[in-house]
Amino acid sequence: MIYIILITFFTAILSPFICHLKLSYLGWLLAIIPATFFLLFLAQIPSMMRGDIIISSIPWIPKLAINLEFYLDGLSLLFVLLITGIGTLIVIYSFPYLKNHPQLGRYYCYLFFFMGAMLGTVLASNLIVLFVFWELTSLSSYLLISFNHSNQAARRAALQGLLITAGGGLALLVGFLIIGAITSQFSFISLLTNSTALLKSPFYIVIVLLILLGAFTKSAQYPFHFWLPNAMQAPTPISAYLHSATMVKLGIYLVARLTPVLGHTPLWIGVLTLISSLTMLSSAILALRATDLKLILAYSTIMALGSLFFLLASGSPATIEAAMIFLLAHAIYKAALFLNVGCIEHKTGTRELPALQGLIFLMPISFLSVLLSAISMAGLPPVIGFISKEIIYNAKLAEPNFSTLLTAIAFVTNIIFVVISLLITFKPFLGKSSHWDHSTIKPHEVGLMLWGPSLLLGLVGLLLGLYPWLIDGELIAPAVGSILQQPATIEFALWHGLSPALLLSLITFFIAIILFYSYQPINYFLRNLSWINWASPQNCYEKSIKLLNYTAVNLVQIIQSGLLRVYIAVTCLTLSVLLSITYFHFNSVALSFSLQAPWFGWLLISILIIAALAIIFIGSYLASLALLGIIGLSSTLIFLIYSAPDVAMTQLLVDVLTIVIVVLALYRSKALPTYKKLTAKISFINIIVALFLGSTITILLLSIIRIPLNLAVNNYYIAHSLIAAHGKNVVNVILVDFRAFDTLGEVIVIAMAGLGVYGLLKTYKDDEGAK
Amino acid sequence: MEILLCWLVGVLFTVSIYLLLNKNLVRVLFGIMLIGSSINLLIFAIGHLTYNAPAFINNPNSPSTQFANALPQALILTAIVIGFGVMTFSLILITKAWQELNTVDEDKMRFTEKNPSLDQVES
Repeated sequence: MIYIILITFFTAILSPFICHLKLSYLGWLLAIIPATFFLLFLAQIPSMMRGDIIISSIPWIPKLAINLEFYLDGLSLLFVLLITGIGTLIVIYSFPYLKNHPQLGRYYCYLFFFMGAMLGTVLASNLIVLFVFWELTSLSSYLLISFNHSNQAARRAALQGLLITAGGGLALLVGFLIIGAITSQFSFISLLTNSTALLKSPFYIVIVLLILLGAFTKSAQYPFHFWLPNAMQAPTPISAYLHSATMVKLGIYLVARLTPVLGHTPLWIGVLTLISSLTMLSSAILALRATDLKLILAYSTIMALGSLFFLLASGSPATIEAAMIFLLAHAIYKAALFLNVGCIEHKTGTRELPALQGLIFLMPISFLSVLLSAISMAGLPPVIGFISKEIIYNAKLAEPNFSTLLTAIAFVTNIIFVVISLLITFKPFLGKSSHWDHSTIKPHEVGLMLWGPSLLLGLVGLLLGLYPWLIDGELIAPAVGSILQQPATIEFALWHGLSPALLLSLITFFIAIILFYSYQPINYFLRNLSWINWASPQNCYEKSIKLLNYTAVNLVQIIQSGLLRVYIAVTCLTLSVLLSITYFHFNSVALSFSLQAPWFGWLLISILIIAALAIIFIGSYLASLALLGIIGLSSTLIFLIYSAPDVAMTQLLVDVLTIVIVVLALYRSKALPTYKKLTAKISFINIIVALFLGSTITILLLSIIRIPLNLAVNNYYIAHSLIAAHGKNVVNVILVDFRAFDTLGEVIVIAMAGLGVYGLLKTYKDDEGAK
Repeated sequence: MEILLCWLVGVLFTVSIYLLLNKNLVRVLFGIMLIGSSINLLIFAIGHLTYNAPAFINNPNSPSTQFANALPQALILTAIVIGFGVMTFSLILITKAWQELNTVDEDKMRFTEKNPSLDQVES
């Protein structure tokens, strides 16, 4: 499994180079990889039916219980098959769709990168590894949404998607870390046996809320739903793949995955039901408002995701079964519908519903393909969508609590699904094809690589609807089994006989058809409700981003004044405050103020203090330099008297050199301007700041010298200087032998300073350089 | 003597910070030079002073307590050299600025370059 993920990432790196070859069969060539994986995973079905689990693990950070651990069970398999299967079709479809795009190579790179991240997420068994791949999918989604990076709307949508999903991802990480702290392991398999510890933990509420936040942001649930419609800025195959079939289902995957560990509690069921109901109802209204075909599909995707959470919430076998079959059906028909919208846009140049009509004779194959998928979405027989909808109704009717309310919500959602599928099938395709006669664009049928994938998906939906026994025990039962952690037996049938569910379906269609005929006034009415825009979470998001930018700009203006002296003052004050706090916190050392010193000590120190104070009051540069020279020489004497001859010698040389260089440099060219004294107020502030730091340092120093020195290092040097390094002068031996690398670094610093000086001296103003 | 040295270091720090806070960059340069010396003395004071007993070892068996603390001296030597590098670089920077911009006033230098505008921040 690890190799499969690695190969996918490797393909991502290679694909730009392959694209450079400009092969005409590139789409087919690249599709080989996901197709092979699809078949490989398909071959795992028999072992999944037996309830086996395939594990492969590589130690990564074993001490923190983080290992590259991957495993395949029924649930992973369902997702992996969707990722690789639909992925194959998307790779094929993308080639003609973006054929003349200069950045096709980059596109394929991102696409395979996403595919690898996605496979990693659904196969990972270690929660931390899952998080890493989870965030990688957000990242690749960002790159793919902003693929048309010259478009500002695309960039904004990409950033929005990234902020929301990656932010949710961080919540997820915190949730995982708390789980890790409680159970001291991150492996999902061992969590299964440990779930009681989590359920009884006082942090259970926090864990659930954080993890559901991650799932809701990823799967675009209310109030985080708005990034998904905006993400429709991405190329259409990406919308089909990431934003309907796979990535947005990761939240579903996570909830399904963690149901046996965290689920079946009132909190879990309550939050999931509440948020998913809100999502379904709000996006139903928004879907009827939109006129852009992709937007309509995006809102219906959000509704579908809401339904999935809604079904997973209770965790009863019937609803989980319904969720899994609906997941599969939705992925198949929604991806196909997106691909068809892509075809329509490719040929007509628009996705606006009012502008499209009469395409049935111009694009007959596309119509057939849309029809198949729309039937599935509407839940009409004989396709897979019908089976899934019947199962949903049955499951909801059989719920022990609130079954009426739950059924009602599912009922409303289904009505909207039917209306949307009617809209997508009939609005663009029926009507007069003469509509296009006067247009500059003459739509015609797209090529095989464009209609093939979506038609294939439509046919798969039909096949699975006619022969549901192909998947019930093979695919759905293992997935349900791994969520319930017990083997499940499931049998699908197209015809359930006359049941309450069938009756509900009939009513659904009846209402939907009425709504479809009154679509135009409803759409018009909803579009004119301006408060929806105003009250939407998107508005809040934009406002807060604006506020953030505004605050940041203003804060930078205050903090980054660009004045050296302000920075120095702030640094000094911070240092003084921190040092004072430290001092008073550990105030256990009594200070000594005894001023005993030999006469030469007194003399030198008086000279130093007088010279230093004089610099403050003397404005002349030359006189100040002379005073600095006096300070240097006096400290040289201190070093000399108190047993530091090497330091004294170096200080003497450097000091003389410094004074000479400074005088030469300052007086080499035109005369310096005379020094203007600062105003009294500024001087006063400067003195206060300087005094504060100076006195803090004195007090600290006074207490430091009262503490006995630890001379261990020094003793080592003195003891080994002669024996090991054959040098009598310990200071020299330290510099050139014991700590020779420090000295080397010092030499490099001086060399760098020299280079800098040389560079500065060789730089001229632009006009001078031209001379 | 150490206590006296502590007071001296305090005074030197005060003066150098005062110089560093000036907007005249030549004074800032003096501040840089002075704060280097202050820090050297500070390290020296922390290591305790020993009168007239440099760390020259003639007999490997002599006890280490009879010599001056060699470690701070090695550190100061490094600090002197690095300080010299910093000083030289700032000196050339300031003289070059004086030649090119005709000012050693930090405030006036600010306006010789274009004011970064806020509209570069993409909202």
